[in-house]
Amino acid sequence: MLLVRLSWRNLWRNRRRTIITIAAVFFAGYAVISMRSLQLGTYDNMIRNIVGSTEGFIQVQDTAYWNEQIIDNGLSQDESLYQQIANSQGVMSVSPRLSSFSLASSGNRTRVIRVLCIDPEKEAQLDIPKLLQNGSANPGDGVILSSDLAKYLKMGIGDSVVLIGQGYHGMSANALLPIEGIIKLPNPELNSRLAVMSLNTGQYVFAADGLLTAYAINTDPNADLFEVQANIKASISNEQYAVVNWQEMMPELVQTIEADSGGGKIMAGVLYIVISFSLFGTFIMLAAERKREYGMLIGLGMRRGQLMLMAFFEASFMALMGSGLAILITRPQSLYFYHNPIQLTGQALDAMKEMGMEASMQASIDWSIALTHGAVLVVLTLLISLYSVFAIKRIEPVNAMRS
Amino acid sequence: MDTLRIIITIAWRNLWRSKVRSSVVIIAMAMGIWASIFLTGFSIGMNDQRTDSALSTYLGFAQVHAEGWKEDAAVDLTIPNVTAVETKLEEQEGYVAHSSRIVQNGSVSSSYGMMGVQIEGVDPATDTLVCDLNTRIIEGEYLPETRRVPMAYVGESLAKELKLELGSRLPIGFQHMEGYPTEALFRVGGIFKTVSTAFDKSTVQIRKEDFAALMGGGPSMAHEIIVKLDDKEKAREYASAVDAMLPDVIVESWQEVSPDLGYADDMMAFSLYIFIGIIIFAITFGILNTMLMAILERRRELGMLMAVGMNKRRTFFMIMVETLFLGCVGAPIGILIGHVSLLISGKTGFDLSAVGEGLSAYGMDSFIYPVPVPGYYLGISVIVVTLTLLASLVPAFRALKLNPVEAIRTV
Repeated sequence: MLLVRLSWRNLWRNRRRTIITIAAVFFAGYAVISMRSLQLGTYDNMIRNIVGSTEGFIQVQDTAYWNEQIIDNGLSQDESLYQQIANSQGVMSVSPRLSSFSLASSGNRTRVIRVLCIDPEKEAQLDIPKLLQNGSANPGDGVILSSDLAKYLKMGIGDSVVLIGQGYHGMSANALLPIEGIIKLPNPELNSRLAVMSLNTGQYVFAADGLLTAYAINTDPNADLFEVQANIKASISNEQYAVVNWQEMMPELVQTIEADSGGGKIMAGVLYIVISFSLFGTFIMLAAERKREYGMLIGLGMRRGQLMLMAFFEASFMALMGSGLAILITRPQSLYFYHNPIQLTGQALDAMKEMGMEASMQASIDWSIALTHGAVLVVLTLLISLYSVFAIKRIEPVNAMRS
Repeated sequence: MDTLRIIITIAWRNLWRSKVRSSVVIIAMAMGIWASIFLTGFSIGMNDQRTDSALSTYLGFAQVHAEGWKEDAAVDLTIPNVTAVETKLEEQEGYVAHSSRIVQNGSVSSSYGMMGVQIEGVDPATDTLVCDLNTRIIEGEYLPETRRVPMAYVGESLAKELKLELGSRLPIGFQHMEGYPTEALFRVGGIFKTVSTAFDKSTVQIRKEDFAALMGGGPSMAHEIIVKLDDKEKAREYASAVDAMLPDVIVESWQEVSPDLGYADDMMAFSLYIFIGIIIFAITFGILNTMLMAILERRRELGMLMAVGMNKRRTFFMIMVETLFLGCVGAPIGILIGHVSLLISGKTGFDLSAVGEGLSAYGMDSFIYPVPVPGYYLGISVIVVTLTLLASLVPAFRALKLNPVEAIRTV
């Protein structure tokens, strides 16, 4: 205990030295936390943009539909199920949906499209008013087409499109529907083949009265995906329903992120090498600077073991303070870049934005990033400080005092 | 002039007197330069690989279409006078190979559903010279010739989605030259897997002669000619040269055909600058801290020098000269390590499978081959050495404030 108190006082006896060491740890932590927060936040941003605006973070489907996605495997629209999902903890919105495929045709032109039937009042993922290019945001009794599809079919507002598809249990699902609106989706693939109609119209066209293919759920941004998934599972507690998250629905997105994050981890690794060396440099100089002092203490009769323990305590205090400071200071910065993502600029990126794609880097405000790297940094600093601790062993008091 | 020489001599000797201190600063600088060089080479290598794989699996280096194809890829919009176009393509410098294709949006179906796909009619003999999709095969055979039901070459994720196996019946829906929709039966002859799941899911290849016959077109009909060149950087030049000679068709380089590959480049460059910025920031402050600590350690020494008559300006100058010397040693070492590490890892490849879990399981290339980037070496070194000099300003000013008497006597 005496050694702890002694080392604490030592820190403040030579403030400049202490501040320099703490600063070294702080800058290292600041760099690592900023980098990881920007890297991981950019993925979060991407996921929110892609998942939150298409399939939703979680879907409740019939187990059969999850295995084979055809309309025959739909689930029946059920108010009590809807309430059970909506009341689960962490659920922000629930949108009932009916999704199927069909041929869209006009004149000589035909294309396979995806038909998404939504309840315009409850729909939370597909933000039609924001994507709208032309016409009305409410499909009413007609359809809303994606812009590339409309262009391919050479159709505009007021024209009627022919849909030829297969409905529930093999019923034919043919319809001639007026185009009420045209939307532009950021995903080019989807933008070339999507038609949106209201749930009522869709259930009529596909002869699927009272049938849905899924409830799409958006979660609270701060909630843990897997926790919410478990909550919903628990509150439904029915084996007939499958509760699936976006990672299961969109393995390609997970792959893309994994592929990219490999490079990010390499960068973080290189950064760690760099900061280890600069911390090492600081501690080498620290040991050199205190040589005389330690020599004197040894000369006065302090045992080397005690001295080493004391030096270790000092290093621990400084490591904790430095990384604590880094965690605190990066917080407002992360919050700032979370709310004001760094906009990437450049000619090509402007074109990208015109296509509706996100070209920005956002910081993550997940505490676990700062805490993990803060903890790693403390351990790293302590390991490096062992250099200055063991340097005490080699001190020859007489020479040290006279240097 | 004499004082200058004396100060430089003192600075030089100081460096050798305290080898530990000097090597710490040299290593810090070399590390900074190494890190920046390595990351640049690594990112550029990763990006090149992505571009190369896109070019070699499906894009080609340049593409030829009939006028108006981009606006409206109609079935009857074939390339006029194919042989004349081919001759011009071959004459232009940089040409390696070409292949003509029939391309159409259509659909494939199985009892498990229907998918919209791009159907490509290719000639295996010439297409394999331009693209290497035939090498991405995981099962079956690449478009074998058959007298019975024609074979199709489909992507793995499409096969999974529609639950297709080798030999499965695969009705393909497309448009006849006359404009009406039609359907023909194929069988799955081979399954491929590329690095892009999206491509695998949306592409089906069949033999060009089969497709032409089914569509009611002549054997030489083509919607698209893809060209392979000897250098991907020359594509723009090549495309515009050929384009000028052929008024009826549009010749585009891969950058024009697929601008998103270029966006990926820009995006990478931008985030790379930010991350290298963070690393240089860490380096600068690391050096600053080391230098500050070094001045603390040298208090007695500097106090002594000042006591024997060295004035403040000269002390300051001496510290700057010392840092400059260190930079002159650190920078070449950093460049050397950076270059060598890029050369070595560029040869052996960087195995990302350890950090990007499951990459190889999904057919992603888990080996990254960094490339040496000599164009960046000078810039990076100048930045790091300049920042080190700036970082040494603070401790140099600190040193000026030393009181000689106190400095000599401190513990």
